[in-house]
Amino acid sequence: MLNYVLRRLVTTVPLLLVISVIVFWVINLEPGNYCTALRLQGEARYLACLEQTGVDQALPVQYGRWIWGIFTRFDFGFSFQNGQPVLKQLFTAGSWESGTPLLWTLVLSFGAMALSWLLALPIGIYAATHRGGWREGAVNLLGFVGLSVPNFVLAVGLLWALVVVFQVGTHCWQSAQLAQNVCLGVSGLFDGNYVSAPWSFEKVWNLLWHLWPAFLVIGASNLAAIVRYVRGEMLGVLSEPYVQTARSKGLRERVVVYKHALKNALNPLISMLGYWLPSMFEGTLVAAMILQLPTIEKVYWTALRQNDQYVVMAGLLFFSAILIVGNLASDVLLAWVNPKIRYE
Amino acid sequence: MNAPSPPLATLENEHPAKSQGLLVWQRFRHNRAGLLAGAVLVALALAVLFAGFLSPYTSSAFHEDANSVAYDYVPPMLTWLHFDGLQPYVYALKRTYNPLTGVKGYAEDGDQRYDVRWFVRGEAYRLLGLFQTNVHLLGTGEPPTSAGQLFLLGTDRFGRDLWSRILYGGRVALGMGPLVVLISFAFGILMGGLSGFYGGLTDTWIQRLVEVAMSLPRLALLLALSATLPPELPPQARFWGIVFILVIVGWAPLARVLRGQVLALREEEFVQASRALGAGDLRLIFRHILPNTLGYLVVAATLAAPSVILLESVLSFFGFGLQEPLVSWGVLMGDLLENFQYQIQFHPWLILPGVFIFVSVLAFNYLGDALRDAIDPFTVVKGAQT
Repeated sequence: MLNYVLRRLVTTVPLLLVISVIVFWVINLEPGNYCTALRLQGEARYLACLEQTGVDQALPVQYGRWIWGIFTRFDFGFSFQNGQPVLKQLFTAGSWESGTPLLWTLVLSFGAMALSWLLALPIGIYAATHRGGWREGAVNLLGFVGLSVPNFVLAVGLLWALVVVFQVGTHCWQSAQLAQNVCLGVSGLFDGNYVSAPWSFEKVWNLLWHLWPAFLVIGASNLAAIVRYVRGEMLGVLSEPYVQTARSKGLRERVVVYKHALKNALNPLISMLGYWLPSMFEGTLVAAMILQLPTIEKVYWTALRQNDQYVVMAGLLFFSAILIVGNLASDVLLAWVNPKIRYE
Repeated sequence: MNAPSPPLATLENEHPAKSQGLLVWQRFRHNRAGLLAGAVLVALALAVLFAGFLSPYTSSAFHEDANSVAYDYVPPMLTWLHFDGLQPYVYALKRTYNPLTGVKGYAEDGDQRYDVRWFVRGEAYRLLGLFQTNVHLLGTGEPPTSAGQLFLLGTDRFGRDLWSRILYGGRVALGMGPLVVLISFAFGILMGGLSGFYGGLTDTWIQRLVEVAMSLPRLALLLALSATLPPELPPQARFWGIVFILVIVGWAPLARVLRGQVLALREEEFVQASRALGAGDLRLIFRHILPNTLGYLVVAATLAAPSVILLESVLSFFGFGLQEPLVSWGVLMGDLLENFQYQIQFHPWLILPGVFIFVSVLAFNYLGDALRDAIDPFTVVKGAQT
């Protein structure tokens, strides 16, 4: 097993190398570069920009330098916007008070995942143990609706419901367009006055208030998928003979369901954890852009808009790495929970 | 040999042979949700095909009053539709201004009444892209500058009718799904088929390719790729660019699954028998192996269509996908993005295209699920005659 994992990890390196070529090629497909826009401000500015960024060099040279920097110094280049190293820009920019992109991405992705499991398990079990009638239909519908609602539509709809219908939001600011106060306290991670305030009970409370719509947007499709899987697996397991044996022994239904059936129903689901990891990151990408969350995905998005090539490339590599690690994790977990599967 | 056998005719009467298609249909027929989903999709497809006829206006016509001030952001007039017996009518639009919020709006002008009439003449369009006509199913039949307009779902910032735009936008949204699925399936079937059938070095290389394609972050890469499409590209070319990009990220999972199936089918006796009879590779693949994967392909295609619709909408919503004058539901929702907080508060009807995305994706998912059950021969159907 250890052998297998090590071998898979080793093959990740050439895979990422190929992906780095693709990523570099995609970024340079675009006509013009970061400096092109500066031409309008005069040739001198443009030449200085070229000097600084080196985007006019031959593509193989640029690629070679980039990849050499990564292998020798773990240096992914620098951001054209502010000269920061890419890794700092993508992951660790920020302060203790406002948090860093990496921290928020982890909080949002894993938080949404944990929350969707917490909600989905009871619903799935309930649906499996209360068959027939409107309840089953309702859970089925919930599953399909969760799977089908596009997360950007959900995000926009949720904001509309919160702002217009329920009129929540305590954060009012001077709007340039309306020349007066507008209230919207649901996007972002904090209300304006808390962003750089020191941590306190109130700040955490404020954060939690801002987190739940994000969790809902990121986790909705995941939640629906887990409910469907849990229900399906539970139905399968509950019809097995050993469950009947447990019942005929006189065990209470609660013990039968939670101790005998659930354990076996969960096994295949655990292996899905790995597959869902990348989809969480994808969901965070959409949520970050609509709800204005300061995550890695937001940095990536900004960089994409500004043609900030090294940040975009590093971002894409990072997302690929997550995908590869997720796939590997699900394979390993599958073998771990199911002794019948052996990798050599 | 010569023993009397029962006449064939009676045998057939007792157990009439049923084709595979008939069996699938019989199972499918009993799935009410699946039938409903299919009906919804057919209705949507018809609605977008006859978009010009069903909508009171065209998707690109600007509407303004006699003083050349646009009817911008008229709220949905569905609730302003009144009935005099069976005759529906609307009142004229009256501009309002809220000095407290500074927001312009509209109200009904109770003095002027306009009947909503059937089969009225209005803006010219091409029915099904063929016949030039100007007959619309519903409308007030008033000239464009009149205050008696029928904006059922409201208008956007240029005074374009949202209902008409949604119908036209559905063409792209619903058309792109099947189109991309068709192309990426053709490519995926080719790659998966080659990989599974020939094995060896071909297999190894194609599988490496699949591995790379599946390790690419879909949405992030899509955004980066469509950012590379130059903005001055004509809309049609941009459409095909987006199709191409969606195919790139769509073919790999299918190729992987199909390879497994072909690998298994290749060793089946009927394939071996056909090979022994001297059938060539092409005949083996297309005549014997692929038809056996058809059930899986149909289900996979139905379930792949919604993800294409979703990706296209997300791209277009964020301004990376299609652009005016081509409209899709994602493009329409993209109107919200600029000055988002203001728009969501005062012009929330711009979300409505999202409802259509949701409904069509939901219908595709239900249909795919029902098809999967119907094609699976072990599905037990309540009440089905066997």
